[in-house]
Amino acid sequence: MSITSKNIHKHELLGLQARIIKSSDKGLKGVTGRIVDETKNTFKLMTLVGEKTLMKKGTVLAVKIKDEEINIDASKLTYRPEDRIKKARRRAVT
Amino acid sequence: MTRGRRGKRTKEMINIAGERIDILFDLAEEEARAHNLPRANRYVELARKIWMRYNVRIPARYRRRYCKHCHAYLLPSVSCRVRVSNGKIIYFCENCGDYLRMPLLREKKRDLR
Repeated sequence: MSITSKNIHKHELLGLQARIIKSSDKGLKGVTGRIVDETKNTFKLMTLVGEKTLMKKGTVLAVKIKDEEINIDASKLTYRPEDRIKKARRRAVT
Repeated sequence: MTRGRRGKRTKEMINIAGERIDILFDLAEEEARAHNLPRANRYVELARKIWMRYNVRIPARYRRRYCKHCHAYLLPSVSCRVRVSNGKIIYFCENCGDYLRMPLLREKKRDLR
C-alpha cells in the first residue's frame, strides 16, 4: 500500500509537489512548490522564490501523485500531522 | 453496549504510520545531504511523534540514524563522527556533543566462529 487518492488525507504530504488553487490570501493563488513542513494550521511550500507559509483554513491544494493531480481541501485537515492518521476524514479529497 | 473497535488502532493506521516514517526518514536524509540540518531534524521529530502515537516499532535500519539524546538526524561526516573502539561503534553527535555507543555483537560472534 502506498500513497493514493484514497488515503492521501491520512498519508504524508511532505515532499509532494503542490499548487494552490484557492486561498483566502489572493497573493498565494497559483503558487507551486514542494511541501516541506506541516503544522496543525499551516503548510510550508518551497517555491522558486523561497519558502511560503500558508494557512490550511480556506486553502485548496492540487497535489501531484504519480502524474495525477488530486484536489485537497486543506481546511478539512486542520489537525496535527501525526493526528491526521486517526482523525482526518475522506471528505477532504475533492 | 460496547462500542466495538472504537479508539483502537487499526491495521490501516499502523501501515500508514510505517509508510510515513519511511518517507520522513528518506526526506531527512535528502535534507541532511544538502546540509540543511534543522529541516532534517524536524523530519525526525515528526517521524518520532508518529511512532510514539501509534506505538509502532522503530525499524532497525533507522536506529542508528538519529541521536537518542537530542533526536537529531545523524549522517556520518555531516552531523556525526563514527569511530570503533573497545568492541563498540561510537557515534559522536555534532548537534548535542553526546555519544551513542552500540556493541558490535554480531561482528564479535562472527569472529568467534
